[in-house]
Amino acid sequence: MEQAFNSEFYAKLRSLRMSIALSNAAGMSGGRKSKAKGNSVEFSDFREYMLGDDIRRIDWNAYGRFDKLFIKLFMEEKEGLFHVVLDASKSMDFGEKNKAVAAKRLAGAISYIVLENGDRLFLDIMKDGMIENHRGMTGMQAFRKSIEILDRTEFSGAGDFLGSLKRGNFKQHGMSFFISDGYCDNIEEVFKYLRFCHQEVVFLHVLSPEEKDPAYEGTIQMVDCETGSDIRLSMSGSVLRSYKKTFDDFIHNIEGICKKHSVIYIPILSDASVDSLLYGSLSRLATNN
Amino acid sequence: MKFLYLWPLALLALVPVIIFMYLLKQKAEKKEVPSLFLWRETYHNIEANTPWEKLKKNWLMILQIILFLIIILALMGPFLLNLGKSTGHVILVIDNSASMNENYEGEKTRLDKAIGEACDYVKGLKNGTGMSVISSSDVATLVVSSSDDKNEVINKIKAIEPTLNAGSAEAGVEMVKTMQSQWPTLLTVCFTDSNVSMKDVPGSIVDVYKQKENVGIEYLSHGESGGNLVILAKVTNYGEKETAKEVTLYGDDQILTSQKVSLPAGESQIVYFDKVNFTGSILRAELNGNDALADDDVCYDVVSENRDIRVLLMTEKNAYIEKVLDLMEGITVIKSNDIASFDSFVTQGFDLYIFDCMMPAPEYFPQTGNVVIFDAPNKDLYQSKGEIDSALVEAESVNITQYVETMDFGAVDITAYYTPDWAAPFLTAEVTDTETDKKERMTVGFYGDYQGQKITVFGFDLHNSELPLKMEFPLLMYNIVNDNVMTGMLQQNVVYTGDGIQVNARADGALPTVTKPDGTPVQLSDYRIVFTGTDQTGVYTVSQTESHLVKDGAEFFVANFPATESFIEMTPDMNTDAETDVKKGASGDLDLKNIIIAVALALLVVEWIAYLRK
Repeated sequence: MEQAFNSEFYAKLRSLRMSIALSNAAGMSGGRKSKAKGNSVEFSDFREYMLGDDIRRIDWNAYGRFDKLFIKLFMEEKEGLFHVVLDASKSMDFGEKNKAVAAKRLAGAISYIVLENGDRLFLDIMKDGMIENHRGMTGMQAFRKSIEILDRTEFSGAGDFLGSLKRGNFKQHGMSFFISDGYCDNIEEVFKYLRFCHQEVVFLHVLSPEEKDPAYEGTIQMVDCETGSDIRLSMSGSVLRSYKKTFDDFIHNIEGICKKHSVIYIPILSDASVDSLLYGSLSRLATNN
Repeated sequence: MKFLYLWPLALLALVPVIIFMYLLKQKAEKKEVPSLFLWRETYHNIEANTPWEKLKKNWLMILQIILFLIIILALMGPFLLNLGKSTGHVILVIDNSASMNENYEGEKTRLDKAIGEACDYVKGLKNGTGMSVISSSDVATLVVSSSDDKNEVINKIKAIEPTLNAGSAEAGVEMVKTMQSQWPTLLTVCFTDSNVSMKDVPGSIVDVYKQKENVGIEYLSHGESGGNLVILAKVTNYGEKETAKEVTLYGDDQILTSQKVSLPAGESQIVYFDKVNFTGSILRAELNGNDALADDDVCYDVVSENRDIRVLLMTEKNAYIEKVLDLMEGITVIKSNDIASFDSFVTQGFDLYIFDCMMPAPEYFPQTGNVVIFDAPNKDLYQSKGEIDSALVEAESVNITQYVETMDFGAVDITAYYTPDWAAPFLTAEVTDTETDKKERMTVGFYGDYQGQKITVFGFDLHNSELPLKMEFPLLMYNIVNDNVMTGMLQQNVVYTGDGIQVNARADGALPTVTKPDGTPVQLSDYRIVFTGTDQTGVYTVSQTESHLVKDGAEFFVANFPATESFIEMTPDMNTDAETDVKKGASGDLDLKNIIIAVALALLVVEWIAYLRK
């Protein structure tokens, strides 16, 4: 398998500056504006004094003009909480241009952007219905750690996304980058669950070119790499046409589900270059900003 | 559409083998895919498609099966009958000669096959087509004359019986030639196992010949040696394989002996049975085991005492007597006018002596054998009563004048005799005494048995009478010769089935009866007749209830299967006559075999191209 985090990746990453939009930051005090009113220097609003308010915040100028006591309200700045949820099932380890490599690069790049923006990063690795939670990381010093985690991640086992996510830590409002090939029957349930957990969801749908345009011929015994089950198909033009139609329906269906649940859908082919991954695919996040 | 053969249907059992082999051939390549999520849906989509779509992926196999079915179809020899095509008039000639009794396949004989083919052919003709049917063996028989009723024709065809007669479809074709001018458009279809020339007869031959294993006895014969019989049987292997047979010899249905014989393909052997002590009448040789033709496995012979009858005619010249003796079968006539040398003849011993106007010296008068005398004296035997210049001679009613009792004729220079006491007159003449004017009937011809010899005397020279000119003369002579020498009704004892046999019964008895081997009695319509009803192999009995003068008698003859029918020298497929169309089945105008083979080849090409493209 190609090395995910090579020198080219790091070289491109250094030039990546991007702010990811997050409507409600819910983390600890940070650099991201919060809907909560707090103690930062950024003025937000006035309100009448109420018993118990800090008298140091009374705006005496306003008292002079209106003869009423007003309290100055200031925007509280908090850090954003970002989850990178990586599907590490065996199905991701496929393709000449491996999906796993592309997925790792995407996760790495997102980690970089999140940490560089001063937000908190959670890496969640899903496989076999379990989830590997890593404590929230902040600061650029944590980037190295995140890369290490991603680098040693092995893609094996089956994918049970909903089962895995239910074991995850999505208690606070944040944003989840769901990186997967999406091969499950209940992808809509997955998004619903994440939305229920106050997550803004970005689905990075990673597929290989072989999956998009398979070039099989003859009679093929197809073995599912996760479950080991198989089917036997004699490839012909009509069979491949039927698959192509099924594939397109699959994509359209996911697009529809994403739209329905306000999930940002970003399809990615694993043969995309690092440039294309970082500036092409992820730029949609910035555009949304 | 009809088929010549049904056995290729058995090959249908191989169709599952093709499917099985095709499945074996399909070695699937194992591929690991990230998920069957999409493929499974694709699979279901294909499943949900029409059965045709489902079959599409295996269409090469289906093509192969179709190809195989087409080959089976071609092997079945399909053909289209004359559907929708009127030929004006159709004559079907069906060979029912003895060879058609040979087995064709299964229990069917060649005749069964020919009848089946003919019925199929009739069914395939356009309604309204005129049809005639001729059965042909030694003679042709018009079975149906110009009918357009298919059912009637089919029933008549099915009713055609096999015969054991030697023959072929040739007689039928000859009959067609005499009939064909009746119809402007005529088609003749000959169903036969032997070649027949169809020159000048528009039509075709349907060949029902099939080579099978057959061994037959061509003939059975015997001779005498030292009081015993020496018997020989010629056995021939008509088949293509060497075979061993046992020839069993029966005498009057009792086993006498048997011999084993080994016969290479196509060869004959003579089997000898030496010193067979048998005093009966009927010999029968029989082959063991079964073969394609059972009728030629048995052959009969008759041990009879019949021998050639020798007649000595002493005459200067008498064409009348010579001619009438020529007409009689089974007798050898030796003629001489040298009465002086009669002593040398008499020692040879003849059955009958005829002295025409001459008489040997008394010491040489034959002591054995019977005698007929024309106008010659013999004082030892009879006395002359006088000479008559001319008279009307009349026949008396005795056994040798049966059917000629009313005959009379004129004669001159007649000698009248005193009738000897051992004789009876059979010719008399009324003479008027010129002196007394008294009429007297005088004997001018008599016959009788003198010391064991039958002696018949005519009192006039035939040249001096009208007798030879009378139509009754041959009959009278036959009666006389028969009375003197011929004791049997049959001149031969062995015939082939279908052949006629002369029966010469005594005119003084009842009409003879022939009893066939199966016991059927056939009363003949005359005393002298050719019996043609030899339609069975075996022993025939000819019997006659005779008059008070002679005792009842029965004789045998046997009918054997004609050896020429055991082996077809020229089969229809040997026909090199370009004008003769020989077919193996009763196909009409269109033999589909070639068309089907062409379709099969085209499919093969399609399959080959598809295979290469794949």
